[in-house]
Amino acid sequence: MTKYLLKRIFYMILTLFLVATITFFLMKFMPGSPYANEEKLTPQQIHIMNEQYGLNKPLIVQYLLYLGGMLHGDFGTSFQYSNQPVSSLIAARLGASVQLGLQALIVGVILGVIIGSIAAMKQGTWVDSTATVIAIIGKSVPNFVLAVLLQYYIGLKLGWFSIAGWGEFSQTILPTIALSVGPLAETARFIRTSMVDTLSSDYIELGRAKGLSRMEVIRKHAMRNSFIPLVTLIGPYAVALMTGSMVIENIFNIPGIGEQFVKSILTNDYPTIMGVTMVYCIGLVVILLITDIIYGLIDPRIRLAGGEQ
Amino acid sequence: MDEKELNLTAADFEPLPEGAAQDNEKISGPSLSFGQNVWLRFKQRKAAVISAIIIIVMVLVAFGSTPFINKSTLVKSHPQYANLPAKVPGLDAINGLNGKIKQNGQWVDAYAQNNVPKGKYFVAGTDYLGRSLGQRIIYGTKISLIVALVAAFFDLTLGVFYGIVSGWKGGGVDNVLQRIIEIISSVPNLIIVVLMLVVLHPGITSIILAIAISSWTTMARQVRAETLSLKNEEYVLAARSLGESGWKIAWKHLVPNLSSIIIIQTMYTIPSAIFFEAFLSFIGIGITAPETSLGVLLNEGQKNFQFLPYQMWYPAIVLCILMIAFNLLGDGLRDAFDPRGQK
Repeated sequence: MTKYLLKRIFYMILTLFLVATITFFLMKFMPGSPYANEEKLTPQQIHIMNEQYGLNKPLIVQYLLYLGGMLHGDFGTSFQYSNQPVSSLIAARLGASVQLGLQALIVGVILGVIIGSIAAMKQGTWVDSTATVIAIIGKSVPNFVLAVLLQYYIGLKLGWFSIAGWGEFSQTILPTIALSVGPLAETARFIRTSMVDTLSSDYIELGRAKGLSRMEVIRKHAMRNSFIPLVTLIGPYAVALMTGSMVIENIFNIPGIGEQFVKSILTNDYPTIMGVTMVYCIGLVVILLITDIIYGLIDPRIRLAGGEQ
Repeated sequence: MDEKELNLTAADFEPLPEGAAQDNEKISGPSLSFGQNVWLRFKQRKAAVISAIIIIVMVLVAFGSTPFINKSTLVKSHPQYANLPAKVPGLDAINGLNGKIKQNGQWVDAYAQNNVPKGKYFVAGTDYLGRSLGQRIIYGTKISLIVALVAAFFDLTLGVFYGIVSGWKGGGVDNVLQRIIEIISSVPNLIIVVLMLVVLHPGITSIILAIAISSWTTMARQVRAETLSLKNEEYVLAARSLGESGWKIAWKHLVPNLSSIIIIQTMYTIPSAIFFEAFLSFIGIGITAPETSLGVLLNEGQKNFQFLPYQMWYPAIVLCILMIAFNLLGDGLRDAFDPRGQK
């Protein structure tokens, strides 16, 4: 276990190092200048600015400084917001994104589990077909399309919730729904398959044969075993929520990290792009590691040390 | 039965009629090849068959339109026809398809308001520059399908090749190749795509390239896992001991046996590629005006959604149908190829 963990952490660090290196050099070789209105600046001003941002040093020194800074959470200074460090820019916006992501995850997974379980219990009936249709639609309809429709029909026409902004809880409801549809569909499909599998296994038959009621068997035996594999979906969930947050935050005007990312791409704010990229990667890598550990803990049949599946 | 004396004589037996014994061994019904079996199971899945038909029609319309819809007709603006709703001749009774649009709660004939000549109509309306929305949607569908095809192509070539090499070679090669995949897949695809788009210039070529580069890893992983188990099958060992070259074994024995997972995985890559293109174009870092795609149309339609809802609805419906069709087709193929799986 310890050996496995050390190995995993080594690869994590290697991955993050490579991502940092690649993004750094990609951004350095980009055409164009980081300064707005460069043609209006005198060479002297550019020289001073370069000095201020450390752009006059040799490339390798800049690179080492960048890596060194990152070790203690310094991602450099944003080009777009004068003198604001990228790290504080991200820190200020991380909260909204994490809250939105967690809310969407909780809503999506709970509803998905309910829909999936009911579908599996009523296998082959109209309930099952309805659940399948919901899952397919949820998987197919892009969340940004849904977000715009929700915003207009529920937010504006019915006026139930505010259509944009961030701060009150009611403002989080529509973006949460839009963002939760992906995890919901994924969970429902997954739970249905897993539950159907479990329900036809021998120990369920035994439970029924020894006189337990159907609900009791499902509650005590089937559920627990068919939910364990759900842990493997945490990684894909995280990716979907990260992707989703970029567009959903834009539509609902939420000051989150995804919205910041899009903004910095559109304005060539390289330090911010690099910083957000690193935050996304660190997030995903850590989530994947935790997933593996949790999976090993709750299902002893999976041995982490085995390495390959 | 007890130990009773049985006195049987030849007379107690009766010979079977000629040829009757052969019937026991007879197999009723023709024996089906793997492909025929798959086709048989696939045909039973109505949703998948309908999806396949829809996709074929969309492909035919989108690519068949190439001679009629080109960049110059798409880009040219006709301000006098701007923001006209859909008008289909013969459907005068249906509001929304008869050239009327809701303004302040009343249906007004937008065509008459803008003095559009009598015979002129747009089946799906026009956008804010008076360009035919129908043509733009067909063109956008074509872009989506091209993105999907290229992503599928990379899946089928790079993904399959990488997976087979990794699984077949094993040992050190496998280890290195798998670590590379591990590193690539712990970076969200989105980040790879976005970085590529920032470095290359946004546009159809870079978007296709970016999606292609980030989409093949799942395929490579699945192919590798399957290759690992196929490697020890008797027929592969036999071919090996007969001195067959690795390439030939891969092509003749591995690929045919991998075909199910390859096809299924490809069917899942396609909708995600379509989604990525629409997503990136929607937030404005993918394909940008004057080029168009479903994502661009959605982005433009969303701005005027309150007043001209059709400009968002039509591309949204087309995109959703495309996604649903590919997802259902993928599910149908999975069930057809692997009946043990679901249901």
